[in-house]
This record gives sequence, C-alpha cells and structure tokens, in this order.
Amino acid sequence: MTQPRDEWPQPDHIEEQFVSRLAAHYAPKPLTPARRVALDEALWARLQRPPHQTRLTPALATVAVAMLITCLSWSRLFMPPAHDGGPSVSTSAMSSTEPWEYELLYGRELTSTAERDDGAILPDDYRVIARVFLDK
Amino acid sequence: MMEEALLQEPPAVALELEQRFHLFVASHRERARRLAWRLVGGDDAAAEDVVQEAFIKAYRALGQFREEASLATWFYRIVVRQAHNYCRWRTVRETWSALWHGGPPAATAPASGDPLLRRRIAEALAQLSRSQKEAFVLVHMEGFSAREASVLMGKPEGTVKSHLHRALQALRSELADLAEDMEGNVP
Repeated sequence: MTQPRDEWPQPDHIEEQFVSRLAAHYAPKPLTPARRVALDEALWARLQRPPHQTRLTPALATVAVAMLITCLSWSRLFMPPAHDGGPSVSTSAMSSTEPWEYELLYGRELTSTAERDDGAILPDDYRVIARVFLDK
Repeated sequence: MMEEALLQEPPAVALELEQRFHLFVASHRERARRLAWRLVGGDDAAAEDVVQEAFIKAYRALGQFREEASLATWFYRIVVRQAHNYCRWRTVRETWSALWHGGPPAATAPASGDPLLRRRIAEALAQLSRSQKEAFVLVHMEGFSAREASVLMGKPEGTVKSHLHRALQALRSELADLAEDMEGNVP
C-alpha cells in the first residue's frame, strides 16, 4: 500500500542525529569581518548602477552567447570537410568554362536550328581526337 | 541616495527605507548565504552571487513590504529561485565546457568541517531531485518549518513533507555508514 502524500513520519532520535551531523559538516565557513565589508561594498556598488543596466546585463550576455553559438555553428557548417585521404573532386576545373564550351553547348540551339560543323570551334587536340574516331 | 526610485521619495521616507534595508541585510546575510551555499552545492562565489542578486531584488521591492516578516519570506523565496537558476546555468556551462574543453571545470568549495565528508554529502544531495534537495536543506539544515518551506518552494505542505521523507530515506541509504555510526552510538 502506498503512503498518502501528506503522511510524514517525524524523524526519530537517530535520524535527527544523522541530520544534525550532515548540517554540521555541510556548511560554509562564517564570513570574516573583512569579507563581510567587501561583500557589503560590492552590494552597494551594484545597487548604485542604474537599474536598467543591471537588468539588461544578463539579457545582453545571453544574446551575445546565443550569437556566438550561431556564428560558430554556421561557420562550421560552411567549412570544407577535413581531407581524410579519400577521393575528392575539384570544383575549380568545372567552374572555369571556356567560351568555346558555351558555344558548343548552347550556341547551336540558341542561334540556329541548321546543321553546323563544330570542328571549326573545337580546340586542336579535340580536333585530332575527332579525326581519329569520326573519320574527319 | 543610491537608487533612482528612492530619489523620488521624500528624504525621510528614503532614509527610512535605506535604514530598513541595512538592518535587513545585517540580519539575513549569514543565513541567506548559508542557504544559498547549501543549495548550489558548496560553491562560495556562487552562493555570494546568488545572495547579492536576491538582496538587490529585495532592495527594489522594499517599499512594497511594510512588514519585515513578509519581506523575509519573499526574500528567501528569491534566494531559493536564484540558486535553482544558478544550478541550471551551471549544468549548461559544464556541458558546454565538456564539449569544448574536454571536461568540467574543477569546483572549489572552501568550507568548514571534514572535506571528504562534505564532498560526500554534496554528492548525495546532488543525486536528490530539485524539490527533495530544497525541502531537505530548508527544513532539516536551515530549520524552516515544513509550512514555511512550502511557501518558499511554492508547493503544498503535504508535498514538501513527502519530499522530506524521501530525501531522508535516500540520504540514509547513500550515506549508510554515517547512519550506522549513529545507530552504534545510541546507548
């Protein structure tokens, strides 16, 4: 049977001794007079600050921490992954598109529908390959 | 005068309020500090910070309380809440510290008594739930009645008594050797 919530067996003699031993050993050192004066001064110094400054400080600190966390998370998100020796693809070659490639890819359909010889616009090495495989 | 609000009061009233506050600090400083110290797990600096914050709030609310007793009750309620907030933020800080520096910061707890026993008591108290710890510290260590503790914790008296009973059971089990010493000493 469970005990009702209000039921509170009063501590017996042994329990009281146990509790008072805990209380005796788990207590801070009393304040020294010098420390008490220092704490009083710190308290009055805080009270002298304008109230809005005292109230805003924790809020501003929280905002600053939140912004720092956001910045760190975002910067980590966009950082390149660490190179672990595995295969990697360079994007630099893909991004540098030569004018002839544009011409080859888009020029034909955009400019005219007529059959056109691409040989003239291809670089020399492509033309050599094309000659071997296409019998040109 | 120190505070903007007090500047608006007539000088005699402001002086009276300030004198009241001085008396209030002098009569509650030591108990509030001890209570905060026990609630934050034996950290001197944290306890002082918690108490200062509570005193500042009490100062601002001084004019609203005509009776010292009701101000004191309100003040200790603030201490309990501030200590809880501190513990919550400490958990966040420790988690953050563990993530970025690989381990929690070392806690320093200068205090009286046997350091090893004090540490064991702190660890045993830390294993209790928040409500159990608050109830135990308020009633068994600080000498508040169960009714007063219920007001400070904002919980029904029956619930506080239940927390007290469970906290005592848990501590006796955790610190069984101490409890057995007591039983051995009984004639």
